[in-house]
Amino acid sequence: MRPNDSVAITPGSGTTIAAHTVDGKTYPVIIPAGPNGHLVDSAPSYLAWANDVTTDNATNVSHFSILNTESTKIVQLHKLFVVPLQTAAVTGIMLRFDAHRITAHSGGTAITPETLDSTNAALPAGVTCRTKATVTEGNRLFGWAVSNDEVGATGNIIAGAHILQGLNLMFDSPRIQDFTLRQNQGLHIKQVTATAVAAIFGYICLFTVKDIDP
Amino acid sequence: MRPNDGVAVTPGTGVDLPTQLIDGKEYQVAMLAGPAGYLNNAKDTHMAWVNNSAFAANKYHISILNAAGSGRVVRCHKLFAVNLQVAGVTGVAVRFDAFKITAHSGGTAITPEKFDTLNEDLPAGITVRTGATSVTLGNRLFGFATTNEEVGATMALNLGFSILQGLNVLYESDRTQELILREGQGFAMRQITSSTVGSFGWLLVFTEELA
Repeated sequence: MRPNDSVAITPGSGTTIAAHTVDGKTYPVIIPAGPNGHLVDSAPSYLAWANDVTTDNATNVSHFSILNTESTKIVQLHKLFVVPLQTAAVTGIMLRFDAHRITAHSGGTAITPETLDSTNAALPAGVTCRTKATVTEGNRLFGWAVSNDEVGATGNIIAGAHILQGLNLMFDSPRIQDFTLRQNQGLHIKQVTATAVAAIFGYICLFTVKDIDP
Repeated sequence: MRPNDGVAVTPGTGVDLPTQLIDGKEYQVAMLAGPAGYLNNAKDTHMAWVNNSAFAANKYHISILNAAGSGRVVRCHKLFAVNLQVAGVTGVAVRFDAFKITAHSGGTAITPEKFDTLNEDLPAGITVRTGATSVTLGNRLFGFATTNEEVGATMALNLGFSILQGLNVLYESDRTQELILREGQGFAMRQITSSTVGSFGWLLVFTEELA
């Protein structure tokens, strides 16, 4: 349905406002911005991939962590996926994972996130991602349970694996805030329960980096 | 809830701004654009379908390259893995990884389909291939695991593959950038595990715009 009416305006001079004319009507063209002034779909975006993270026969092991120590930037987490990668046969058991806030992380293996646009600024040095880090944990955010069974060739296991790797744990929506990491804030995914059956997962974290509000 | 107020304006002459008259109020009607100025929902959009890609170790099942000199920016919006194996096979778990690439050649060229036949033709510098025999790899982006088992007739298998073919592995969101391929940049899905059994289709949806 096209608009049913119009209001005539008298053009001025000096500055051109973007417009698009369709069927004799001139539609103003606007670029939406978010609440902190950044144009929608423009925030430098980065993808962190934690490859082949092995479960441990120990409790409370950090599998993936992201930390922001920058004083002038915020990090917003948009997507977080758990990807079952165990292809060799194992005897799977159910495991519990939790997501927690963190205030520090060190050790383990550093991950270099990939920029989604090569013209983005380099990721600030204070935004870091790690696997199997030693962390300083804060509040628990949520948890989930999953099997470490191999992805395998049978239907039920495959269905489960596909569902899990497509479930965004970060509640990306224009109707709510994004989960925001200010200075010295982070998040980690923790293997809560131990397993003697080693299996591998991958973790995908898609995040943006913005200047803090002036 | 409708707006509880209004501001009176004196109409002029010369240019008609579209409005929608509802209950005595003129609602301004505007078009949205993205940060590069392109109207939303209006960029030239293409789909590339790789049909019946047989499994092979280290095979590049689908690759797209925006070659240097194209004068374009390519944005990858959606990528779906579609299990097309209908004859019975002995399936195994398989792994695929996504990589940035800077060159590809060989294999079979894929001709993407325009979403609107009025779109301009895709520039020659934007190419899609299956089974490329020479690929210059960049960074790995992510991976995932699935099986090459036939889709079959059991509900369990159907459930699994129905889920897979509906999963967009390119994480499209209006809060983040898309995976952007500038000149000299591309993207490929590579089979990591060594099975030669099975057949997948790959569906890639992308847009292109002037750089």
